[in-house]
Amino acid sequence: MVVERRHRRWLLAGAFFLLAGFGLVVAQLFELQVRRHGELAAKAKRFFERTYVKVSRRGDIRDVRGTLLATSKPVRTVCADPSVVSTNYVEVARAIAPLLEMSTSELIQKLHPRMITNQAGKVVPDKYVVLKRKVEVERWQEITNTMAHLQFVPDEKAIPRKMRDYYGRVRSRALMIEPDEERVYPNGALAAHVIGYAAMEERQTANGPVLMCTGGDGLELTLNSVLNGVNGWVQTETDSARREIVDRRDQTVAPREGLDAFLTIDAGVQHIVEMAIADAWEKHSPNSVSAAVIRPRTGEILALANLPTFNPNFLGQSTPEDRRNRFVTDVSEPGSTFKVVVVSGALNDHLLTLQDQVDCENGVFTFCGKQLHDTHRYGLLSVEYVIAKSSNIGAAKIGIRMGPERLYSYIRGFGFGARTGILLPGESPGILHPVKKWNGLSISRIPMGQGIATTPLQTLMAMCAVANEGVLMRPMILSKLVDRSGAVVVQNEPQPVRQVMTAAAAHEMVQALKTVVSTNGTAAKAALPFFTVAGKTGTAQKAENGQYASGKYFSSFIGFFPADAPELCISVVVDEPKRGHFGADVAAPVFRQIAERAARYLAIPMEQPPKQTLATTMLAPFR
Amino acid sequence: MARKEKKTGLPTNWLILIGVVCLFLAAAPCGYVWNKKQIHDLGVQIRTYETQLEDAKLKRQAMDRIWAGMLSHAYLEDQVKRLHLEIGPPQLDQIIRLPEMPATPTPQDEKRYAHHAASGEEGRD
Repeated sequence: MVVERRHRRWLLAGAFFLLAGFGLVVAQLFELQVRRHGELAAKAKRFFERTYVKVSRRGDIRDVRGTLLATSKPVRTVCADPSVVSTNYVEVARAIAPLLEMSTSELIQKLHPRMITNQAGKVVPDKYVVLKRKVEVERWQEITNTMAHLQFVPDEKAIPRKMRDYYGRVRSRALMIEPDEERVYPNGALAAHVIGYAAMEERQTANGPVLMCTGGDGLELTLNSVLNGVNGWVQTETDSARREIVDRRDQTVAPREGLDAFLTIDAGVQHIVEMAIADAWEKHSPNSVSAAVIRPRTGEILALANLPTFNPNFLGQSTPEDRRNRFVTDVSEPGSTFKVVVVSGALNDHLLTLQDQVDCENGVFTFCGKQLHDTHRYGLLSVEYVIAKSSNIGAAKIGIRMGPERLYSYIRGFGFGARTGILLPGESPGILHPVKKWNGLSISRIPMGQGIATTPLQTLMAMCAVANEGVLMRPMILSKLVDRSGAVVVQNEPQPVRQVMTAAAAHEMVQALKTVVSTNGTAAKAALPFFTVAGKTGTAQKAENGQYASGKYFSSFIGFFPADAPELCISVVVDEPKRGHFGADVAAPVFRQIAERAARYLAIPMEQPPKQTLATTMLAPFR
Repeated sequence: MARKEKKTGLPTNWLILIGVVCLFLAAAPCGYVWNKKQIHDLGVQIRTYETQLEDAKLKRQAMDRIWAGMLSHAYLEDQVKRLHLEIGPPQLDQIIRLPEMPATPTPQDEKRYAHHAASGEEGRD
């Protein structure tokens, strides 16, 4: 077949354009597949590939018997995309407002489409707005159900398919959630100052910001790193409705959950202490009351409470004053409870015995030109009675006899002027000046608990050292750390700090402290029916603006029982009681109340068995 | 003529081979699709189990919280007061302690147990 010249030209032109078109396609393919491959592949990846961070669950805090004190509850943060909601914000707001427990007008305001300037400086539609945080999982399910059945027009079948698809998108994509966690304290304010509180904190990760629970105070803060586990992640693909295509999962790294902390705190004893200090609060209307119960042989803290207190479930309702753990952070002059230190030191150095006589100068002793007074006029008192009657002059004379260097060394030895090392934040070391900064009066004032500032915890630990045959223990509040499977990861053991005094001197001191709680001593109100109690009262004047304020006192009592084989050591500190101010009248009855109930709760064997017969005992409750 | 017929007819071996190839070509995509479906179904199953596990965990945690609330001392004390149960921990003089057996047997115990053991053996014989 012979092709005409004219036709051949057309054919060539056609072939040329075909080849040129083909060439363009090839060039475009080269551009897309080779030159811009990386950029476009990443863009495509962004559409279907997702990395979800799996936030680890924060560990629980439990008491020594496993009672749950703090736990975590999964909740949701409900967010919305106003650009998807578009003009339907009124309908959406009306539907979900009751479920989110928000006003419709507030939701309308949040869902109203708006433009924002992004980080690149471009004006773009706002696609993310947080509607409400801490929404319960069950509530989110109700919201999704409500959204799925939301009607925008009376008869959706009658409208074009495009509009139907659009309404479908509003239903499925307008709202979204972010996983969140809420810290819950099932016992409310119980041991609030020990446990502390946790708050949510936004942390930047490689996969964007993640909300994580972080400790704010108390053990929640100090144990934050062990309570928080390690986050995991899932790298996967999603379909157009953002549903995960599980078989396209690339990586699944499970989160490592946080460890559970078991404390030495006993919720039962803690409750007893909190009830007792609440009674004292009502009776004396003080500024604050603090109390703690400790096992002197091990340093385990069974209870530690302060009033005013707070409920960590409703943190916003409390003030910083309520949240302060005064037993650990606040310092004050210890008052007469400090006489234990000076007499213990003197007994340990064999400077005197309990039977040695001290002249208490009939209530007025002049030293360095200043007068020192006793509350009662005493003449000659044995060392035992210096403690029993809480003679300031007697204690001052013993301190003078010891000398500043020895006195200072015993004060340091008993742990004053240094932190005890308790696992709670904000512990104060107290105020103890070195000997070279002491003035002439210091040697007569420090033995009676003036010119030195201590925390109630330091004074309690010092008393525990006397009870524990002279061995000072480190206060222990964390018993063990346990993983999810129940395996013990860390087991804490009691830690002796040092031997402050000999066991013999400690026994002598205990004898003196027993007389305090006798009818001859200052604290007969602290005596228990079936146990011998050893203890010491304290009534310290409060210092304000560099001088002692009249009518303002710290009243305290620290005691332990059974005196010769101590099971519990209890400290009660009342700041500025309004009715009564002597430690014996204000703090000692609180000690007794705590000791009686704690002894029953812990079933501590009685020293002095009751004289009743078995039959009368058993029938007593029914009569 | 017969020779010509022999030449045009395809050998059986070839027919089998072609059949196998065709079968393979037909079965391979079917197998691939079946395999993909299996993977997808397993993925859906995994997702279902994960959701169930998550739900069970949530329920357990919720129960734990309720249980903790019910065991709280403040709650129990309130309940005792509200229901007028008038119960509490026993008074110290209501606690009776029974003497416990010594941890290590005394020589007397050993003799006693040895006697019992011996008499037991006699009985069995």
